[in-house]
Amino acid sequence: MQYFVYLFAAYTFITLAMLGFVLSMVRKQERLNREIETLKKMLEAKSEATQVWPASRP
Amino acid sequence: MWVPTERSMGIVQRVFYWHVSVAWVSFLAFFIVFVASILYLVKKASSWDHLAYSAAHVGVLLNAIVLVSGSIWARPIWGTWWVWEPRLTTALVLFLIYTGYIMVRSYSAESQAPRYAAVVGIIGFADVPIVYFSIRWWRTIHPGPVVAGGQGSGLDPRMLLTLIISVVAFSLLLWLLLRVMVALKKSEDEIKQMQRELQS
Repeated sequence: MQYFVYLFAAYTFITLAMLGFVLSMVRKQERLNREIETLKKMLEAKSEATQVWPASRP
Repeated sequence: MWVPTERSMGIVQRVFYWHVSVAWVSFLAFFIVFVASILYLVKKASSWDHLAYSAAHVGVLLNAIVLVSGSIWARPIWGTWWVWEPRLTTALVLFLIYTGYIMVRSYSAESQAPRYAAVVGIIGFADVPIVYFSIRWWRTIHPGPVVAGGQGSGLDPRMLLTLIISVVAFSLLLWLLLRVMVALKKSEDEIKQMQRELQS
């Protein structure tokens, strides 16, 4: 069992690096989804405003 | 444990199964960057750029894992964390090249970044065969090839099977990460498109 600590350190590092990368991607996807939803609402509001405006013109 | 313990290095040799398979899969990731970059320059389709961008990110992560896990393995066996010998040095250069690829993507003008990065991705791939063959071309402290290394090399069948399973597992992980990364890049492009629509 000599050097077990090095084996443990290597496997732990690899696992944590992979998990960290996956976690960062999950967070980024959540942030992008929120941003897309906000932008969709803003675009809908913009298109509604441009549709209403000519009809209300005297 | 099913796989036998190596005689001279003992239990720490088991780092080999992840270290070597991650190294091979990182080469595969950089090969994907190489091919996708060529196809982007030829066809100008953003889907190839998305694939190259994603593969470069995953490749850099895998390459960093190879460097660190190799260093941890080297400490008890060589008595040092790092040696400036051909395999380690060329592997570090490979890491720096593709880190450069990501920096080019980040700091170039948006319209030019994919083209500049594609050039870096293609030229940078030249280092992959140098890393692979460095242990055959030069005298090095790094162990010689154990698979397809000619006379005197080879692995116990159980060790070889464990290595193959590990390579398959990390290849599947690469495929999964690429799918997620490409989806992220598409989402980013969608956001940029919507922002342009809002400003127009």
